Amino acid sequence: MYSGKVGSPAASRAERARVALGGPLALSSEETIYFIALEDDEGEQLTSSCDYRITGQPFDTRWWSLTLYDSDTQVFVPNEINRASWNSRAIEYAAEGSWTVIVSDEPQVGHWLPVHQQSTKRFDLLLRLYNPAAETRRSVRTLALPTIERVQC
Amino acid sequence: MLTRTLALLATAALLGSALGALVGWNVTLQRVPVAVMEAIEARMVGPEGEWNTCVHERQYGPLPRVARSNPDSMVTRIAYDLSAGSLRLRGKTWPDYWSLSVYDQNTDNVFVVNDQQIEGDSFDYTLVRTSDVSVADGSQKIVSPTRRGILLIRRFVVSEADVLAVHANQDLMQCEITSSPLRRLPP
Repeated sequence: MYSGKVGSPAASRAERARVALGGPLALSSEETIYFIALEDDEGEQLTSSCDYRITGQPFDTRWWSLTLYDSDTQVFVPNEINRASWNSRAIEYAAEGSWTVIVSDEPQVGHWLPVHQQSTKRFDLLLRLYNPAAETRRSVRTLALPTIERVQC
Repeated sequence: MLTRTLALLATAALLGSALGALVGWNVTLQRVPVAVMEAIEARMVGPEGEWNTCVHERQYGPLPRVARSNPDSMVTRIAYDLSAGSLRLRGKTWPDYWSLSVYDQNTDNVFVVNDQQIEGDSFDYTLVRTSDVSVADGSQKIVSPTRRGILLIRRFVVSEADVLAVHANQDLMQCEITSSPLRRLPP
């Protein structure tokens, strides 16, 4: 769901209330575009009991980040490496330009995002695009978003 | 006749209930953002009531207990109350990404500027209640639609190696309530 009015005084009462409850103090869409994933590519809820492979392409934006939150508390999942996100500067890209992040409760080689250990707790992924290029903003409804593949449960 | 009257009354009661529910829903929708802001502000100002104070996040990475915070940013937060005057903010921007954003008491992001939109690497803004309030020479005016609200400064931090430089950038910031709200005299 996307609206260019989100975060601005032009937002409807319902949009404003939804943002206030789900993510207050976000930037308006002119400055930053936010995407949230609650489900994998097959429409199944994201849960700590499964491993996922997230694959994407670089975005035409000043910088981007992918952050994992506990869906119930909306805060980070505590973990031994103190990591909850990967951003466009820290991540390493494959030769063809793509990037991959692995979500798992077990340590992984490469870009790992830890989830709750031995748990079925829900989590979600928030993608932030800061200072998106004009073309990125124009094509936001058809933007190629990362794929979220369930690897194993 | 009695049946028709009862039917009319029942219809009127149903319509009244529906209208009441609609009004109630709209009032709830309107009240939610304000209640959320009040709750966030109460946490920010604490029991001492520290309005208009720059609070710098000194830690880099995931922060416990802060909903949906961005671990790649180090933020300066100010809960403002312009009852006592205007709020002037000065300092240096941050090169990787810096933005100053203002949220009114309705949660609307009523103002945002980033480092690429500012000439040079210094900023000087004064948050005022109405557009006719005077500000110091060289300071740019931001009008807050509401007396209270929240101002955030975000800095994108590439790695832990930048943290000391971010602290220095934060320490350069000046946040001060200027004298009572001055109004420009009519010509």
